[in-house]
Amino acid sequence: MKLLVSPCYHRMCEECVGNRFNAGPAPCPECHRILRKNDFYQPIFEDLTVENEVRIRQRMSMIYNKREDDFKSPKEYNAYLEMVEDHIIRLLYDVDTNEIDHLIERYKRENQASISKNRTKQQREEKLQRIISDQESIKRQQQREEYLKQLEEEKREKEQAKNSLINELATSDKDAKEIVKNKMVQLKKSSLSNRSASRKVQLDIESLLGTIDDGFGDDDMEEDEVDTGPFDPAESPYEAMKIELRDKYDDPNPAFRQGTLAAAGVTREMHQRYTIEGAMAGLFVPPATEEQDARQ
Amino acid sequence: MAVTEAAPKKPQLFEQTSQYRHWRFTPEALEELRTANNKRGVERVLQGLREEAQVDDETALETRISEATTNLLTPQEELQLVGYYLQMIVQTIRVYSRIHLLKPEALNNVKATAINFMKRFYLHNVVFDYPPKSIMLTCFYLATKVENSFMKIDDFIRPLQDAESKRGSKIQTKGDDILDLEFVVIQSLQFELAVHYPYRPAYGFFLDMQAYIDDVQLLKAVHDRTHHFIDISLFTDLVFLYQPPQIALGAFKLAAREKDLDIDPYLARRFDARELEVLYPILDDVQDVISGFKNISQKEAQLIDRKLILCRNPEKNPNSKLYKKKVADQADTPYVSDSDSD
Amino acid sequence: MELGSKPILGEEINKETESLYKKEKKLGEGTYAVVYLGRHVKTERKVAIKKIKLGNARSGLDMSAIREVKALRELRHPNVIELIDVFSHKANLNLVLEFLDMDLEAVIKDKSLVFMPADIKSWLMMALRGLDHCHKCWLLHRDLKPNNFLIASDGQLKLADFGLAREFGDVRRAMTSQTVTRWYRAPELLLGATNYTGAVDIWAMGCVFAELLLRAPYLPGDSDLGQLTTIFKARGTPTEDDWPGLNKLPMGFKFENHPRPQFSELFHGASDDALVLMNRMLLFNPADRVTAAEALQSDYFANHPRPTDPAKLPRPKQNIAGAIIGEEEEPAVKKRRHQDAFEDVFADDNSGGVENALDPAAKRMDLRIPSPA
Repeated sequence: MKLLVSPCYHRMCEECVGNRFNAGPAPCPECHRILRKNDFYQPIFEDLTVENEVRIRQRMSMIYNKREDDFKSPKEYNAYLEMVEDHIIRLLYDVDTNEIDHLIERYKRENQASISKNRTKQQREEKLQRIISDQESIKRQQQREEYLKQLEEEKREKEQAKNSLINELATSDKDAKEIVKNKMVQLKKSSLSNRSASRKVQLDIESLLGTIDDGFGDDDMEEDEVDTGPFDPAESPYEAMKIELRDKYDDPNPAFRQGTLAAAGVTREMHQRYTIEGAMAGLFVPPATEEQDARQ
Repeated sequence: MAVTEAAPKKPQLFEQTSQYRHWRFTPEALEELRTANNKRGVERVLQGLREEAQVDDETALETRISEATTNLLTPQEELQLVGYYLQMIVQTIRVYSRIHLLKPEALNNVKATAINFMKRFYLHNVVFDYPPKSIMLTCFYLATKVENSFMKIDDFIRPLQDAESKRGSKIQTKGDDILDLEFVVIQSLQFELAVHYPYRPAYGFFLDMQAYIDDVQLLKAVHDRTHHFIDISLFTDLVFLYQPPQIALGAFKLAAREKDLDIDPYLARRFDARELEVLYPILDDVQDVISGFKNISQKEAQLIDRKLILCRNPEKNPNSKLYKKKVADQADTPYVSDSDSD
Repeated sequence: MELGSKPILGEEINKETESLYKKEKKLGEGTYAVVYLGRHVKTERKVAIKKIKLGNARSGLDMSAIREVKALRELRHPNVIELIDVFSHKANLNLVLEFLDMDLEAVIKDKSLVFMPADIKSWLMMALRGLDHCHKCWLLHRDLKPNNFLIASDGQLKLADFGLAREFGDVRRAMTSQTVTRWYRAPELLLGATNYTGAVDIWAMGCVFAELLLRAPYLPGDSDLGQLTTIFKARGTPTEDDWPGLNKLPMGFKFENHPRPQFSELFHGASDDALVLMNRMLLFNPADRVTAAEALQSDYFANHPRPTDPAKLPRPKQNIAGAIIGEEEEPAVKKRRHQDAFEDVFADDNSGGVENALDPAAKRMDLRIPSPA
C-alpha cells in the first residue's frame, strides 16, 4: 500500500485518495481544507515534520535567494538570514501563518527582479558545476590514458635502443666505446618532449655499458661540459600565447581581394592569428582587486 | 585553454601593456578618485578666485565666490559633461571621415583612442581647470597621430573653421588652441599612448566561433551588430574595469541575443568551466552596463556648461585676468634652472 | 585605494617624475634631440635623458616622438632598451632611458677587435630575442641597423630607436613603404608594398648578420632603385617562382636578370648553419622568410659553439657618448647626399605624406644613414 501526503500534511493511502478525489476537489477529512488529487505527493521522509520542514525550506529558498554580495555589510546579511529563519520557524510551527504568507507575497512582489536574477545565477552555477565535474572526469581519463601510453612508449624505446646497440656491437668492427658514445649523442638529440623517456633509456645504456666497457669516457665529454647546461635560444621572460589556428576560416575581410598583400607576406593566417590572439589575451582576467588599485 | 603548470608562472604578454598595468580599477577606486579629484578641484577654484581678486577688483570677490559655490559641479555632473563631449568627438570624427581626411579603416581606431584619451584625461584633471570642449579636439588630434593617421594641424583645423564660418560663429578655432593643450593632455595620460579596444577581439571571436556555430552568415551578422554595442561601450567605464576581449564578448552576447543566436554552447565547449566561472559574471556586468547606457542630451549638457562658466578656475582660464598676469610674469623672469632649454 | 595626499593631477604627477632625475652633463646633440647623462636622485641609477626638441615643430609633437614613446612604454624585455620614465618640461619632451654607451656599429667598425663565431651568434641571438618580443607584441621596428643596437656595460644587446616603430597585423591599414634605412630595406618595401609584416625587420636583421660576418655593409645601394640592383647582384634577380605575386606589387616590373651567386665564396669563414639561417632571413618572398621565433629555433643556435656569454663579448675601449641619440654628428656633405632617402616617414596611411618631408623633424632621418664604409 502506498501512503501519500496532502499539502496540509495528512496521510492517506493511494486508493482512498482515488476514491475521495477522483470526482474533483473535496475537503480533507482531517482539517477540511479543499484539496485536489494532484496535490497529494509521495513523502521522502518517514517523519512528516521533517518532510514539512524540507518542503518549507525548499519553497523559501526559491524566494529568499539573496546572497551575501547583495548586501552592503555582513551585518545586514545576517539580519536577513535571521528574518528568513524566523519565517520558516513560524510556518513550521504554524504561528501567524497568514501573516507570514502575506509577508512572503509582498517580498516576492517587491524583489521580483532580484529573485529571478539570482535564480538564473544559481541555475548557471549548477550548470557550471556539472560541466566542471564532467570536464574533470574526462581529464582524469585522458591523463590515465596518456600515462599508460607513455609507459608503453618508454618500454618500446628501451627495447629498441637495447636491440640496436647490441646489434651494432655484434656486427660492427668499430670500437665499442665509440658506438656507445654515438648512440648517446643520438639520444641526446631526441626531442624535448621525449626528454624524460630518453634519459631513462640513456641510464639503461649506461648500466648496460658497465658490463661491456667500464672505461667509458668522462674525460671525453669534459670539453662539451660548458655546453651541456640547459640553454634555450628562444628564451623569453613572457609566456607566449599558444593559439592553434584551424585550417580554414570564413574570413570575409575585403583587404585580401587585392593581390598585393600576399606578395608582401601578409597572409590570412597572420591576420587570423592577430585577431584571435586579441580575443584570447586576458579573456579570463578577473576584475581588479583593491590591492591592485593601491599599486597605481 | 587549460593552464595546469606547476613552475612559477611567467607573465603573459598583455600584462606588460600600460593599459593593464595603470588603467585598470575597481569601481570603488574609480569613484574615490573622481570624488577626491573633484574635491581638490573645488578648493583650487576658490583659491584661484581669491588670487584673482588681488589682481582684479577686490570688492567683487564675495559675489564671485558665492556665484561659484552655488554653481559648483558635482563629480556626477563632471562625468555627464565629459560624457556629452565624448559623443561630440564621435560626431566630429564622422565629419572628418565624410570629407576623406580620415580613412574609413582608421575610423574605429581613432575614435576609440580619442574617447579613451579623454576618459583617462579626466581621471587626472577636472572640468573646472580644463573644460572638455577644448580638451576634446586635442585628444582627437593626438589620437590621429597615435593611430597612424597624421595630418598637419592646418589641415586638421580647416573643417572646424569651415563649420564655424558656416554657422556665423565669431570664435574661430586656431591651431594653437589645440597644440597648446597637447602637453597638458599627454602628461595626464602619463605618456602612455597605446590603447587596446574591443574591435579586434570581436573579429577574433567571429573567426573562433565558426567551428562551433554552423550558420556563418548569421554569425557574421551578429559580429557586424557587435560593433554597435562596442561603440556604446567606449562611452562607459567598462574600459577601466575589464579587458578588451571581455567587453567584446559581452557585446557579442548582446548582439547574439538580438538575432536569436545562443553563444553559450560555444563558450561551454571551447573553454574550461573554471575559466567560465570567472568570465560569466563579467559578461553579465558588461551587458548590463551597455544596455543601461543613456546618451547625455544637449539640454542637460548646456545646463552644466552654463554652471561651469561661473565656477571655472581662473588660474587655468586663458581669458581670466589672473591667467594673463601669470603669463606676463613668466615672460619677465625666464626659467633659470634649465639654461640649455631652447 | 588610499589617495591621501597622493598627487592626482597630470601636472602634479609630471612634476613629481621630473623631480626624480637630475641632469649631470650633456653627452651629445643632434638636430632632433639632446642627450644628457642623468641620475635618479634617490637610487643614484645612471640614466640617459633624451630631450626631444620641439621648438619649431609646426604640428606639435612629431610622429617619431609619438612612435617612440608609444612603443617603448609598452615593451619590457632584456633586449629592448628600457624607457624608465617620461616627463615634459615646458615644450620639451624628456625620455629617461637606461644608460647605454656603445652600439653595434662601433663594435663592427673597430678593426682591432677579433670576432669569434660564438660572438656573432651571441649578438644575433640577443637581437633576435628583442625582435621576437616586438613581433609577438605585433610591433614592427622598421629601422634595424647596427647603430640602433645598443650595448650595455654587461654586454647585453638592446634594440633602440623606436622612432619609426608601428603596430602591424591589421590588414586593412595602409603602411608607408618609405621606411627603414635604405641599405637594410627589404625588397617588398623597395617595390612599394603598402602593408607588410615582421619580415621587413627580418630582412634588415639578415643584412646585419651578413655585416657581422663581413665587417662591412652587405648591400650598400646608393639610391632606391640602385638598392634593388645591389640586392639583385648580391642575391640574384627573383622570379615569379621565387616570389609569387612579385609583379602585383606597385613597382614590380621587369628587372635585369642577375644570376644567383655562390654565397659561400663571399662568406668563406662562416659555418654552414650560419649561412643557412642568413639565407632564410634574406629570402625574397616575405612569406617564406624565417620569423624571429623560427630563427631562434634554427640549427645555428642549437649547434656548437654556444653563443658567447654577453659579459665576455669583445668591446671597443672607447665608449661612444651619443650612442643613445641614435644619430651621429656627421659632416654636412653626407647629410645632403642622403636627403632623398626619407620622404614619407610620418604619414603611413594619410595622404599628405610628401608634404611632410618639409617638416623640419623629417630631416633628422638623413642623419641616421651610416656613411659608406
